Amino acid sequence: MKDHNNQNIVAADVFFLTNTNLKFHVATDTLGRFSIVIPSGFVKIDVEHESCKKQFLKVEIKKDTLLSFTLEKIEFELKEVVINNDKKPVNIGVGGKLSFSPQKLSNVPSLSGTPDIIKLLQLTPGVQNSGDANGYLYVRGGDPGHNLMLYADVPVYGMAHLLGVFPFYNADHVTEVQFDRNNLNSKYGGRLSSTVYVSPYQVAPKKFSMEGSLGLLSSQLTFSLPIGKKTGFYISGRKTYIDEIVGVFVKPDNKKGKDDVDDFKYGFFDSNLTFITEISKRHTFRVDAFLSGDKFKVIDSKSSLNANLKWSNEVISPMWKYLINEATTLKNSFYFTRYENVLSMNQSDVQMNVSSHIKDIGYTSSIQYVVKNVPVESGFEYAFHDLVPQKIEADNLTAIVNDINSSAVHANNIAVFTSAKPKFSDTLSAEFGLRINYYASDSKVTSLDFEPRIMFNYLPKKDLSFFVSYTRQNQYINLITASSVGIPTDFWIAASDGIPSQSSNNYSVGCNKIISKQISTCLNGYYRSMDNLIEYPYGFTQFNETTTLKNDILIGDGKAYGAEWMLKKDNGKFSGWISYTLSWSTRQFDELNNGETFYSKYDRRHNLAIVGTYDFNEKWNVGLSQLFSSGNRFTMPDSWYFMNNTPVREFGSYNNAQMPNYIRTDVSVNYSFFKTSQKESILNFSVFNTFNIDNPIYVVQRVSVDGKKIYVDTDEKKMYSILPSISWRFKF
Amino acid sequence: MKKICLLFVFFLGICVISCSREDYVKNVEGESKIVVEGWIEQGDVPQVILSRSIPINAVIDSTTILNYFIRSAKVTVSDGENVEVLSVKSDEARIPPYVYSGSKMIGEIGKTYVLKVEYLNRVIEATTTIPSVVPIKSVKYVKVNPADTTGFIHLEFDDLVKEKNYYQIATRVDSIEPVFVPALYGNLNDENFASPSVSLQVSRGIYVLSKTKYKPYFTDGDLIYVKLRTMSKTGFDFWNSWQNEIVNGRSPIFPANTSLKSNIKGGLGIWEGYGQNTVSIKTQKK
Repeated sequence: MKDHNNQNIVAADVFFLTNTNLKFHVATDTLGRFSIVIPSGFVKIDVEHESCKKQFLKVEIKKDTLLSFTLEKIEFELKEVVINNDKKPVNIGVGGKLSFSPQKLSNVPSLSGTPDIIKLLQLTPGVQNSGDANGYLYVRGGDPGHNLMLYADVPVYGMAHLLGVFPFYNADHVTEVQFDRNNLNSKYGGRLSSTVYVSPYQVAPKKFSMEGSLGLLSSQLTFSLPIGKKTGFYISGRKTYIDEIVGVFVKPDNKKGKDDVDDFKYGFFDSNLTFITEISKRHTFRVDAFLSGDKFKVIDSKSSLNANLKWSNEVISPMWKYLINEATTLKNSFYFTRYENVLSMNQSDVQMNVSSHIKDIGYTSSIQYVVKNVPVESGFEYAFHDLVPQKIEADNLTAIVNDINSSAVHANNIAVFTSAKPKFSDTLSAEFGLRINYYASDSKVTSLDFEPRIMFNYLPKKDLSFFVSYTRQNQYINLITASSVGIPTDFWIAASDGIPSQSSNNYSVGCNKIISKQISTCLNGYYRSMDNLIEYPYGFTQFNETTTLKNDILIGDGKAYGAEWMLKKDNGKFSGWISYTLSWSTRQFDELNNGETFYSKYDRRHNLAIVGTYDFNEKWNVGLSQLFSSGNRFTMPDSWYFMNNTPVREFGSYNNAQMPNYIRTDVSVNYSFFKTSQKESILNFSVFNTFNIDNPIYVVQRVSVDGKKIYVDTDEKKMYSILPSISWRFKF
Repeated sequence: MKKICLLFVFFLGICVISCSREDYVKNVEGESKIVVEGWIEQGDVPQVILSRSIPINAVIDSTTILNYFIRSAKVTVSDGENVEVLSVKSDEARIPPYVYSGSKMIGEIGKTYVLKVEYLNRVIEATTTIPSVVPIKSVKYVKVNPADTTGFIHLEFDDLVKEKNYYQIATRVDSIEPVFVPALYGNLNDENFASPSVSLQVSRGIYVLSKTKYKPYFTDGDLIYVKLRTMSKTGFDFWNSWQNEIVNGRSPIFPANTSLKSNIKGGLGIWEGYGQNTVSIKTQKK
């Protein structure tokens, strides 16, 4: 089952009513396929999908028959079936799943004029607003490293461009984003919190086309290059080209008029490549690649700092898909993914290099099949991890100090998984999954973990459904976040001697209700417990000497719970949604706060996002997004004293202070010169933070000495004031 | 029209919310604790500086700050055999400018010293031992380029292979710095030494109260005192956290938000025994 773009339609319901009044039902799988055994004879077929108009068809089945539902092409003896796939911008699935096509949300205001997948996710329930200058995702009280970020089945370890200003993924190359807060699919594992699945193009291009956008800060371009009928490339590229402009915007603002930082220089590029060839009807081969590189330079005379920071991502994955028969598909893919960051610093004439990298080589094999009308997927995954968590080289220390931190960590992870989606009756269905992980690191740390994934879905009425789910997750590769803002010096570590693996139990209930054709709502509640979480309270490194990582990290537990609500209107002149999350996220570490429970950094009690777009006519369109969230937590000193003639601060309980509430209103106006499904030319004006509300990204209190005067200086930094931008989007 | 009205009310709401944003700085309550800065080196008397920590919201000037300096405590040090009550003297080189010091008790290598401070019904205690002394083998004033008027200190010493040692290197430029300033990266743990014969370049530490802009090097004509101290793991952890606060505490991007480590029961700060060796080097003015 495909739509007019030849994209697969997943989870469409197909109902069969035979002339003997027997009823059958089947749903399409992730490839848009369905298969069912029914008695021969006349049959009435109803096709239903939440994003499609209902269709029906009467046909006589005499033998094994392949039915293809597409917009234009009708095969076999079928009468004309038109599936109107006027896809909704945002789809709510069962069990707290959500998916959207970023291109359909291009009218939602964004800083760069192009859809930002991470920022869009932050407008959905269960995801905390990361604030300015941070490109991380905080889902249901988890840490940023707890989300599995997949680009075409490959984990991506880097997550943001500098300060989260630019979208990390080029949305022109992405056809769909699937977001699962519950991690129900046993195919995916290795993270405690959610799964974000970013799919690039799925079918080979039919004709040459070009699309992109030209903006003030960056531009992007995507080419579709067909080679023959069933083979082709998609190539995308993006680059910032006016670093100086970025410098002006990023320059921190200081109320006291003292400019801390003298110079900023920043630039990045990225490129995506997708190659697809349909070798035959049964064999498809594809290669996906994603490359990105960032460079950031900062010169700060106040602390005589001169720092150069570079970080990069490389992802490549060849995949072979084999349709063994109508009901069975085999998928095999290799992948290589690498993330690296290097910071070279020259502070007070001390030359220092801090670098880290993570490299994975992996193989995934999965088979989708049907057992007694129950779709099943099974498979295994192998990954080899090669990490250098933090390699510190300091000029005057390397001479005398052993290279203790540079030692690489190697680990192997093997997982087998299976999942089934049985349907017990018309009103009750379920998803069962099991993932078994075996992890071994070279420090002889091994673990074998079972991860059940269970969901029951109850549909008392066509427009109402309830679900309840339980999942268990384990995480062996963890992210250490050291910086207060989105500066990618954060690094990944592997569970090894002294660093335990993490686990979580996730309980969730929810209800989806379709109010009318266009309006639907969902309400979810969740509770999550997390074990062996990591805090890294030392800003950067202990600075005096290379210490071992396991001495510096702290291990503790966490809990998170909350309620999420979303109301959305899908089409019409006005479309948009309201998302509200009420949540709590706490941590307990024996070595922090005297072992007492404290709120996690991104414990924001309230998170409200309102997103709306309105089409005045074919030419003019406006968009609005409104964010309100409670301030995130930080640790503030409660007193200070002198030690060796130097004022030093004594900090209170961990995360004892709260930032002001975060409020931001963005608006956009789009003018279409022309717009069809094949061609478009749109001018976009956006105003970021329209009401110029101060949203500090961090607060630092320092004891300053000025001659004989000693005072406590509160330094509040914000990143954006009101920020207008203009961009031109095109497609030919 | 209805929609526009709704929108208007909504924006009004935002304005109200944004105006009522609380002052988060005042929400944190400051607490005052007793702070101990105490040391005993071999061949010298015990010395202790006492103060109370100053709440972050307190308004401080040259008079009110005196309220936080403690001059009326009873400070005793015992070495297991003798007990001495320290007497307070004013010392302009120090902040707070009052030092409690002994006269009879002299620090000895291997001996354990217990500090007891009694102040306003509060009693706080700490214990330390003086470790072995490691002598400085050589100190040189080295210039990267012979034409420079500035340079670094090059230090050599031999690690005591049979013992577990933690070191601190500190320097003091005569008539510029009143106290020894721990060198940048000057806290060393012998477990990381590639060879027991240690030879390294010393970067001058940051003296926050300095009248001149911080420079990591020394200047021709300086009279430099270089001190190599041995200390316990507690002392090492304390000085690491101190260094972290001095260097990272000013960085907004990698903020240091951990308090200094301490070995004082019921208070803040450090009571530490050091084995010390100091040499001076007079650099030639051109």
